[in-house]
Amino acid sequence: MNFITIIPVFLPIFLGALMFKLNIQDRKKREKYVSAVLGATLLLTIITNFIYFDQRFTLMTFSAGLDFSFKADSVAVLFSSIFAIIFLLVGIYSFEYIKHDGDDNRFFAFYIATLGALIGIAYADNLFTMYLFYEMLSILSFALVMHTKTKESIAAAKKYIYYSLFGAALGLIGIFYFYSIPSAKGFEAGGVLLQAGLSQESLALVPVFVIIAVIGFGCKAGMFPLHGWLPTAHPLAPAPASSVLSGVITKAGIIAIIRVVFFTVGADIIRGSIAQYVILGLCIITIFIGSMLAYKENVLKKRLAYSTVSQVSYVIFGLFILNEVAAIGALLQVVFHALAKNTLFLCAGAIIYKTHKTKCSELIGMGKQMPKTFACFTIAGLSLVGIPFFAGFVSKWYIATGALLIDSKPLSTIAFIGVCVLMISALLTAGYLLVVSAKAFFNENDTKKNAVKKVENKEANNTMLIPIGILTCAIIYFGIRPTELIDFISTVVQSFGM
Amino acid sequence: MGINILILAMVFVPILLGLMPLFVKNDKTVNLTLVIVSIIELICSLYLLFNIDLYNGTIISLNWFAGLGINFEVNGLGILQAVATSLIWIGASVFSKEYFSNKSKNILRYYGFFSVVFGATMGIFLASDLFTLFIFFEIMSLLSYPLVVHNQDQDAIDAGNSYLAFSVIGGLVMLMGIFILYSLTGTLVISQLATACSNLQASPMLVASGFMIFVGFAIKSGLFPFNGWLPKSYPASPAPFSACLSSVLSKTGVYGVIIVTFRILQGNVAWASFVLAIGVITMFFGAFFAFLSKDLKETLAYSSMSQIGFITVGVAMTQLLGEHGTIAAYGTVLHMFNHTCIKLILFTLAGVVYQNIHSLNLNDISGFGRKNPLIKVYYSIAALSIMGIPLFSGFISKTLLHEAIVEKIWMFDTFSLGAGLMQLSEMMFLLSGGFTVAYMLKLFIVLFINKPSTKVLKVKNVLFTKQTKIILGCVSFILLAMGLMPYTIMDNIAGITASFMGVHPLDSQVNYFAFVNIKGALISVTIGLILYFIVAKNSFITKEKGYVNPWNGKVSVENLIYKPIIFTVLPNVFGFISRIFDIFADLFIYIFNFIFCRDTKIPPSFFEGKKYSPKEDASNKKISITKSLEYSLLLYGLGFVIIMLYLLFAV
Repeated sequence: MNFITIIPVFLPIFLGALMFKLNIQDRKKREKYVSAVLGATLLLTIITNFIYFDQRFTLMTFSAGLDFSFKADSVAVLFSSIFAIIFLLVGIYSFEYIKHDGDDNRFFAFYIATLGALIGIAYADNLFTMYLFYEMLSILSFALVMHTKTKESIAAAKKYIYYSLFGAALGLIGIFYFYSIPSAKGFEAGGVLLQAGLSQESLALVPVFVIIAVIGFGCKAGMFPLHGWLPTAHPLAPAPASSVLSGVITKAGIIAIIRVVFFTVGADIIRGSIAQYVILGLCIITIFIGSMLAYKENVLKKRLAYSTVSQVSYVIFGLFILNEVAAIGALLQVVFHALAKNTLFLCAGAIIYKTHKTKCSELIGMGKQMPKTFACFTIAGLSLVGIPFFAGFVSKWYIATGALLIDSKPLSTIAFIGVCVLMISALLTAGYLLVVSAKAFFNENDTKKNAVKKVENKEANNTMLIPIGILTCAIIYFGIRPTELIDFISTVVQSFGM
Repeated sequence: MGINILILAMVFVPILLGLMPLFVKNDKTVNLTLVIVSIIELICSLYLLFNIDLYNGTIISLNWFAGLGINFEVNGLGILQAVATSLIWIGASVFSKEYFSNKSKNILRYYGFFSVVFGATMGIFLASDLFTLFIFFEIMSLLSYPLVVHNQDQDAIDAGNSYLAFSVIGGLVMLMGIFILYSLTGTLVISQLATACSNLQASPMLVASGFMIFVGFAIKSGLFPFNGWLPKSYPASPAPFSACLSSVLSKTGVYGVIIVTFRILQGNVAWASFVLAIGVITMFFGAFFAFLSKDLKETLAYSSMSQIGFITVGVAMTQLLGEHGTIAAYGTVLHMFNHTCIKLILFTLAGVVYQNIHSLNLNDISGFGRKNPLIKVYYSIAALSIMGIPLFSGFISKTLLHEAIVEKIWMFDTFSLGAGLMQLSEMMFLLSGGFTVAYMLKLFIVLFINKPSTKVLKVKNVLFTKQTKIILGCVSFILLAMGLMPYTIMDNIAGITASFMGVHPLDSQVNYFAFVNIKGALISVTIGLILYFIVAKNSFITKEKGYVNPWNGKVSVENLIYKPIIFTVLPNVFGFISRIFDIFADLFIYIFNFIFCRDTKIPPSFFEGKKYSPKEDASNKKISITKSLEYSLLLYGLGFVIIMLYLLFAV
């Protein structure tokens, strides 16, 4: 019965493709269809995660050692659940939003199929399978970016696809190298290279290929130097698309990095090697430049895109500290960033949908018109800054304390710098998010000096507000009581075999 | 079990009460609930204060909270501050109802945040470890922002921006310090920090972490040079909240400074001297600017800063005196408590003035209290107390602090640099006392002696409700009782905190009313009178021009250094560097494009039979050559030749 594992992967892909054939014109019917598919995928993901946990299913074998196989291990459970839940919420939101951009069928077809590709990446049981879904994801989400079909959005989508393909190609170089080492076929906790019993000399090149692969897959996660597509693609994609791009699809890069680092190579080989130094250094640069440029940016969605560049690199930073505390922090950051960034993008979308305002400087005094939207925006912002009582604080606490646990000398200095940069980045995050909220709520928009100051209610309708509200509640809930999540994530981290 | 629920309720009931305005839209009900909750909190904290021996050291944990769990513990100083906090919140809540009666814009929002800040402050004083303390400290700092900007006019927004910037920076610097401390010692429990840090005293990282945590707290208490937000935010916030800011929120900072000095950097003489220096500077400049100010609330704000300086001097002296630090510790604690009560009265009176006249400029409000004896009585009690006049409570605490400095001077046998600096500190102490006398006298003369201004004459019925009168009466009574019975009340209050302050309880009574001690007060009063009647009267307080502020914020550290650096220089420099990194990959793509995929600018012309060979344009020959395949091949060949030559000769 363990073929069930592949259903949440292929069901959305097929049903998404089917939408082109069905071409549903009635809005109500289409909404039913989309929510049914997304709901069914979530349900099947949960069933697979609980019942078929850790059972391998091989769909086919291409040649010796090239299996097309799936397994829901604990990493996959964590990521696939996030993907399915966020996609359902954002999907509901986009029923209303996509009226704004039109061509609903195409949008939802690709949207649903993207979910399938993402779950495929999570469930993939070897680098080969993962790579196939990784490329599929790039191509499917390409259509989401260029949905509006304006000249700019097509150019942005082209930039996105080129970056993604180049990144994936670098990743592929790494994959080729790892496949050249005997026994490196499936994923195994603690890596497969050490178990192969290879000599030190034959492992000498491994860190170099780890660097190449991580930079390649880091493209999706928005890591310097291949982060350039985020600030171009996010502002031009429709809000739900940029929301999942930023909150969820970047996490596909994180899965790929986890699979390479912990499940193929093994933390022990990387610890103390050049790969750890280089990647930590790149992460520190990314964290800083992301926050700094977000601070200098005026277009709200672009600002959020730069913020993603910075925040997702917290995850890679936490992972490459290579100890359990920091890894727990990193995976918590995956969850909490997904929640917070989706909330922020959906709020930005609601603002655009209702008022067509895209710049931060235009949002002064808007808090009275859209109080609920801006309340959620503020809470998500507080979480990203890392204020206690909100989720982001917990993950940052773990990452920083984990980083400061390193005691060998040159590495501990880098970790220390990293923590300092984390703090500076938090400060900049406050500068680029909290100031927006503060101005929206407390500054009066005096420029017009209307005699009759009538506060119009421009609040978005419930279809848009409820998903935002659910995400916001989750941020507060996990900020106050993250215990169960931390317990689960520590079992995930134990499977890293550090 | 009972104590667990009691302490958790003390912290979380006000926080949850903050949600009440979302459901109850009647501000009177919310206010009443807030007052009742504050009274219950006062009763609870008094109960804990009197049974401190029973509950000292009991740890109450919520180990699921925020990942690491939060823990509460009752300690002497904390619980005394909790009593003060609930007292202030009763006063401020009662006064809020009156203050907002005629302009109830956003009043529900105000009550919501006001209540949460109350709970968070209780959380700070009851926290058992720095993690818990930090959580509540951040909540308190950030949620105070809506209260500071409550008026939403330009002043409030400016003050709020300043407040927010300082709070966020302070919070993050402090968090960094806590991270380092945690990685060094592995514990954050306040009662274990002293032992955990004692064998690390030589470590520069420990000092760095102590300093970082100190910065976070120093910002909240307005110590120099982190005071930029204070003289703006106190006057800009609504009066009830100004009272809370000055009476309670600044004390959370002092509480933290005490923890850093007594627990993390215990016995570090250099550190204690540094804190002393900061205290002395803050004490002096606060008093100095209060003396110059021509705005009622600004005077009180600078006065707060100055008094916090006095307290910080006490904190440093306790450390410097070591074994004999009891009097300094007592002085610190008592001055904290005194200042809390005094500033509640003074800021509430400032609020009363503002709600009647809608101005705080000393020229507008002159003579306000002439026909109102009750205001005069309340003001006088508070003012005499803060001046340190014998028989008032401030005298006791200032005497103790002064005694501590004098004792330290005696401990130096011969004349040395240390002794000289200590002498200087004493002189500054007395001088600041003199300025205190001068600025309180200035306010007294403005309010009660000067001729009423036109604005004051317009006010027929002075708005000053019975409830507020009763509250101020109670607080004045506390001050009077403490001042008149120092041995029964003040010594006992301070005794409760002795163990937390790390000193032995006082073994023999200090003779407060000995001539030596009264002499100190007399010197300050004399200096004050000279300053007011000779210096001020002849320079910036004149009959013709009224009150002028000769300084008037011309030079401020914030505008000169902090703002340009933080908001202009650093973002632009680092923004530029980041931009280079940002376009790094794009730059490569651009260069590749430039070399390999140059778009042709020559318009292809499709003449018959010449579809695949564009027409040559004679005028554009140069460009067309550089874009031709042959030219590319030529360049390729050139490069090839260079590489060949290199291989031939260099390798």
